[in-house]
Amino acid sequence: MTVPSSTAVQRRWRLSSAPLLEVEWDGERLLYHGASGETHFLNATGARVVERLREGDADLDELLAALDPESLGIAPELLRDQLDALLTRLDELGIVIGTTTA
Amino acid sequence: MSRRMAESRRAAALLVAALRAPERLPTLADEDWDLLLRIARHARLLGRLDADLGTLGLHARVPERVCHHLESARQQVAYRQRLLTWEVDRVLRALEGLDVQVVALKGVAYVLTGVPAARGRMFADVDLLVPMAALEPLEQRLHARGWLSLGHSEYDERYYRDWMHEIPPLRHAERDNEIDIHHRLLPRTSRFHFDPAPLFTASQALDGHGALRVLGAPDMVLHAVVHLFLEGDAREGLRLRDLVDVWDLIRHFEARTGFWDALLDRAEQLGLQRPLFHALRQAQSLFALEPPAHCRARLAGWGPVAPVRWLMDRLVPLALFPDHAGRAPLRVRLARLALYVRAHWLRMPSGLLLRHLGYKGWLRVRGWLMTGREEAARR
Amino acid sequence: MRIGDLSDGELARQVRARPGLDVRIGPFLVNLRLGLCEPLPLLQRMWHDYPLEPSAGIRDFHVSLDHNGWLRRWWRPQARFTVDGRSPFQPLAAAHHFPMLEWGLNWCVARRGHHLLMLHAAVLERGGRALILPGAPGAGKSTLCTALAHRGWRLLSDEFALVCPQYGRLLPLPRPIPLKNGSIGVIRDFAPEAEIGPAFTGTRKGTVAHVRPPSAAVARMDEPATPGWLVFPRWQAGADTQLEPLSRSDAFLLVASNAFNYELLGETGFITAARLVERCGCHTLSYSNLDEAIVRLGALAEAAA
Repeated sequence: MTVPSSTAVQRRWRLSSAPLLEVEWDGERLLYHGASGETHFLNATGARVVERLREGDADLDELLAALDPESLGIAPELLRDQLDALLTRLDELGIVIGTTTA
Repeated sequence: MSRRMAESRRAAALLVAALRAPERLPTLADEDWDLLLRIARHARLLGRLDADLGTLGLHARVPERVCHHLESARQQVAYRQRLLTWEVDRVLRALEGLDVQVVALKGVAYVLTGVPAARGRMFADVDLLVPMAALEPLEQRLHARGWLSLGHSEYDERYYRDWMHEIPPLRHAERDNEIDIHHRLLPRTSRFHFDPAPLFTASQALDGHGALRVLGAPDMVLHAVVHLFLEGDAREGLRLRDLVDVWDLIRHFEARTGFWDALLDRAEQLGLQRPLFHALRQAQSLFALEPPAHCRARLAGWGPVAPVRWLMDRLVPLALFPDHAGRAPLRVRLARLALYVRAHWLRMPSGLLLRHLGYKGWLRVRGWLMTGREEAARR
Repeated sequence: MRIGDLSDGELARQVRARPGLDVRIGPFLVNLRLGLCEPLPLLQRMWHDYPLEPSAGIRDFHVSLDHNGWLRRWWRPQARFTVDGRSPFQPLAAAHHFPMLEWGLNWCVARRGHHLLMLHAAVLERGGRALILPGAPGAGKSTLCTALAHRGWRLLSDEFALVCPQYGRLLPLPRPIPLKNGSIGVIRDFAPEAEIGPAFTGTRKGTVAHVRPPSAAVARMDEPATPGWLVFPRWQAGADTQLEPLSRSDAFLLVASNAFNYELLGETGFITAARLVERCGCHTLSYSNLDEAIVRLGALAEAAA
């Protein structure tokens, strides 16, 4: 069995059902993840991703559409890679869950 | 009786009374609370008393200073439970797609199944049981996902793999929790060791936890029994909280029809009659746990010869309680040492034991504490 | 009755005999027994104002200091700290008796006080509002705290900010302040009225000398304070005095990483820390001149009054 690379297969992302507590000060967000007891610091992109997933699950393209690359000041192709890395990290932390659909 | 011994007995009596009848705690005098807080903390049962008081809605009727300690214990318990159930969650996520049975043991199993034994229970690490054949793919997968093996030297590795019932503990690079992965419940060297295959067959799926399973009810009880008598620590003695686990689990499961018979049958099948006999005897004397009438004769036949029974009846209660204040009386320390040596003897064949303890005088003690299969075979 | 009201002989008798000396230090009730008499004169000075609780039934910690066995009385004498009969760390040379007792009590509070959010911080109060000074080692927290405690601020604690999760108030825990190395001389010059005990040389933190908590601070140790300011101090040789605003999220992360039990408290820790940060003015302070630093901090308090 070969492990499909993330580019070959679109993963869908959803928010974990664990309770999240948040505080926001001046656009910066702190997140308390109840299941792990860990506290995370989210920048504006991270905060927007979590907000988008709160509305329903999404794949990478749908998440990209929810972000505004102009205002973030990042080139779109870079943003795609960064977003993919962010989601993988959020999955490791248990905040989002990625599922592979062929 | 020395003053110290008298106070130790008073502390032990307070703790047993608190465990048996938490509803009477509001009537406790301040001096008794002072002693109870210390012994319960040492026994790691303070969280348990707190949970019982919470269920009964009695916190408001307990002195405020006591409430602070209870609250503190509650936070510590919640923290460990959160940390370790999360670790299990991450392990399951890492193992997704791998066809392997993972059985949660002890504390984690109690918490995830929500049995009453979980309430207020402190636990130190994650214990999982997997079939021997699944070890390799499982270890590979976990290593690839960031878990590191804590077996440092080649000697450690060999010690674990050749003699033990588990692999060297694993720890994730980003977290501090130890995971013990067992492939059987007792070391291969233990004279009580048995084939773990039936454990998997009788294990049960856990709703909402993916591939995770827990032991069947009789096996869960027997594992707690094994833990009580066959894991020792010379300084700490037997752990009262392990006996409390046995008591809690039985009280919970005995509501199921046929549970007691299933428990006794299973003990017979796995060769664990003697440890179960001792555990039930202690649970009966401390917590008034009564096996049903139709099981008593069968149980009585599993006891050791009279002199050993006499000795165990005296050693075990002495060793079960931690000291509330430092150095235990000499008698207690000797009882602990004897039971520790016994636990080791039960785990290791005698040749290994000598290498381990370097203590030849033990050979004489061994005659006294005759237990287990050899004797049964001789009968 | 306070410890200082006991005669030398009476104090010595009480700490040696059962049940020991019951004394209240901030919110904690401590039962103390001593198996060695060397710390007594200093204990009597440093713990002078703590109230005795002779009818205490329930104590938070039963602590003792002894010789770690009869042999250690003569041969390389040692001091061993125990709490509830267990010694959490290795014995020290007997000469370090009092610092050991104080460190031991720190350990007790840090390991047992999980009904509170505990930050590693100095806390002082003016006008009912608390100034919280979280401090990494070497940041000059104790020096600044001692200086403020002798310039019109009430000392709540040098080591622990004890935050009640329910109301967010800070509980006083006024204890002797351990000054290290160079700061001993600094305080001698800065506040000659401060009562400083003997210097213990060669401890794991270098030379340590204790400042007695001001009597007024101990007399008012049952009065909590509401959060006022979070100031993260940094002493730097030759630095200009700069008090600068700090973003709340940075302050939060600094508070969480300076806490003894933020992680352990989970959701309670998150909510308590967030409320604390929310209610405080947050600043960083770099300084080298104590007088200037005190003027700046005083201005904060006056602006709020």
